[in-house]
Amino acid sequence: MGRILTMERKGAVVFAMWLLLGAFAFFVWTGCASTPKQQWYTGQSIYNASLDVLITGRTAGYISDKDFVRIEGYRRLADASLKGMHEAVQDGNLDLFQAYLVAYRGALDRLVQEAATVDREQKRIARDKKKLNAISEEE
Amino acid sequence: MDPAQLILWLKLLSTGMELIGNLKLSTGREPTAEEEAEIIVERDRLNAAWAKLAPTNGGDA
Repeated sequence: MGRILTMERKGAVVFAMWLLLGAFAFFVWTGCASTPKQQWYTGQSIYNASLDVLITGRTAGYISDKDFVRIEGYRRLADASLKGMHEAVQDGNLDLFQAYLVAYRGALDRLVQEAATVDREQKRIARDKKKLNAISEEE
Repeated sequence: MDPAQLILWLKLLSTGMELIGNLKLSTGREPTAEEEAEIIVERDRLNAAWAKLAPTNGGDA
């Protein structure tokens, strides 16, 4: 656990995040999930699926301690937003539901951005290592 | 392909298929109280599993 991710390994996690966000966007914003309860259920399904993939990635050593900490805040925000959405549905408070839905969408957006940032950093580290190797070989 | 990477891809595939099933259900009709309870139990189980994987040293690796 805690080893630095290679580009190939990160690629799978980043791809998973994009796929899940895409699924959420498609089902919620195209109106397939039309009622608040359906939207919450869709959001919760996507959260559970994302976390399941992240757990597998973390267990397999693809997600370093640093990456774990980086994404944890947004995961908590997504979780809290979904809990809020569910409570708002039960209370019939649609304004509050919309506020939590926006927060959840923001949390997923940031999770994807964080995954992409980590990916870019790994590519930069790989480039720097290559340059260093080339220099040491010349010497 | 690294076996661990293969496991991740298989997991992604199976999770994706399960997700499609859930989404098909949720877009066709309102989830029942039993389905609501099931998804909440699953969320709690996953949250607990994720919490167990938290770094012990504050994430400086």
